[in-house]
Amino acid sequence: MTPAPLVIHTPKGLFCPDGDFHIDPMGRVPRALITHGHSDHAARGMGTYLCTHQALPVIRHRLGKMVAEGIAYGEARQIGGVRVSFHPAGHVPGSAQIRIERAGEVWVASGDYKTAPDALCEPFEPVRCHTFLTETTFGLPIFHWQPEVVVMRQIAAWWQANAARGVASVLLAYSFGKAQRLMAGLAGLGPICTHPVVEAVTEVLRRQGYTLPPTTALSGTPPPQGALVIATPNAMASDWALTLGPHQVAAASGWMALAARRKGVGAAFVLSDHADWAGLTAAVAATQAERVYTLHGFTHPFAAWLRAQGLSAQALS
Amino acid sequence: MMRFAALVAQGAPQPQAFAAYQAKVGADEGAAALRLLCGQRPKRLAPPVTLLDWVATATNTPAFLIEACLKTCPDKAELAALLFPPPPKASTTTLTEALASLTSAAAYLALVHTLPPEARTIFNRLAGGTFRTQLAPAPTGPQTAGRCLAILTFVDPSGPEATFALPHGNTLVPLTRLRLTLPQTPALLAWARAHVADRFGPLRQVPPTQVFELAFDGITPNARRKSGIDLVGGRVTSWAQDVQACDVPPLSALLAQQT
Ligand SMILES: [Zn+2]
Ligand SMILES: [Zn+2]
Repeated sequence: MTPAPLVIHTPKGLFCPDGDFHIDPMGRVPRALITHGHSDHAARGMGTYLCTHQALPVIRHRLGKMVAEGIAYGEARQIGGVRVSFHPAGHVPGSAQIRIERAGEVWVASGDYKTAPDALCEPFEPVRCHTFLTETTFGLPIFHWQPEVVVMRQIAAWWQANAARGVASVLLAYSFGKAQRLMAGLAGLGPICTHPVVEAVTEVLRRQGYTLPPTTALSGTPPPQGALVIATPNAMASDWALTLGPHQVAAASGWMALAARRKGVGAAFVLSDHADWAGLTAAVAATQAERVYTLHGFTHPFAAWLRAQGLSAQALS
Repeated sequence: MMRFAALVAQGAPQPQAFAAYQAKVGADEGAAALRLLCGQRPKRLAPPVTLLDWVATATNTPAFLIEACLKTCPDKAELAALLFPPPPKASTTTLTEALASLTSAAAYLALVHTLPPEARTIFNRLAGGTFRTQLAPAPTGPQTAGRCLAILTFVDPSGPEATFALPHGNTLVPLTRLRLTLPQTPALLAWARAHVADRFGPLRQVPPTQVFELAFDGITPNARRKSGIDLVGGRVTSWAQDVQACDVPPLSALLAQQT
């Protein structure tokens, strides 16, 4: 008889019946284990939250009042009939893969992850398991990332060229994760300014002890000469954008690998917080899992490719 | 080849941009570029589908993955460029050297992967006979065709049709209503059924969380629309499932692109 699955896919998200908890749920549930603070993983309305100590401050900042507890990376905890631990996912500060063990059988839910290191977050650690639930946001063999330093050099060159023309450089980024990764990777090259929403998250991470360069929040004042401004796409819709003076806008995302996505932005940089094709395939191999479930993005082609390599693989969404 | 690719990256180059390019490259490359930009194309090495086949074989990419990739990147020249990992070192190949390698599959494959991805795409268009860029006559008219991201707000399952909106300040402004022809339409309708927020006749209001990529042929002003514009030839090109609604560029970004 095959043992009951440790994790099942439900309309509210991943659920562990033996531990009676959900992972990154999107509907109200009594007990939520959260991989990281992005809004498609950490939602309001759960009875209790468990996430890494490093992820908790940003989640509290974003969700407000909540019953939540932090756990150290690698610390094991018994929840119902399973042992649970959190392991670095290299995606954003505090992000984790969740390891679940019952009687020697191990499943790992990856959350979002990136295998290549960056200047800011806890580096990805592969976790051996029997069953791996992997994200596949960029699960096609057209996504190949360059090392972070190469992309940061491209961004720095664009920034310097704008500064030489007396034009501010506006980089669009998520307020949590990408924004701070950019400032960490571009530290010391010139004045860095932020939209207040970005600044608030940055300040939370600074108080936690993440090393981030000094930044100046812009609220109605123009940026200093030659500045880099990090803002969310939404901020550029508001009156706030009118105070920036002459500027160039660039986007930094894995999707910028595609010409169709580069249309409409002044400059585009291929920089992702997710694993690329090689990262995904290496991560799956490193787990030594015999069974893989795929979630998010290109779930079907990636699962089909794993099957062609002789693994048992199935798309969950 | 990299300088030429950068010159034509945004479409038809302006004469001043061409002059600046010509000043940087040698006389041979300048002359070769001018011939290309005046519509004189090199002899086609192979049709784009054949180039893609060669690249698929060279990169050990199975046919089912090529099919999946074409759904996200339908341009075969671009896809054949993206299947290789980035080159390990910076390329110094000139346009004339690149054109000289359009003699055989082996010569093509020996060169293409050493170029950076954007130069590969242009090189593939030259090899596949689909390079169409010409010098811009000055002055040029505004370019209005494009693609944008938009947020799904209403679904009419009987069409099936959907209404898409763009962020504007703290609200969403309806942008356009389009027929749903994506292969994922059944999945989308199932999602909409499970997430109905409100009903207005056949219309189902859904939470503004799903992002789609739209393509259009143009934008015309229309004062009767809340957005102030009509999309001409609008169509839904993909369900951008990994883009969050909060990251959709606002209406103002779309308007700014048009002027
Ligand atoms: Zn994330
Ligand atoms: Zn995510």
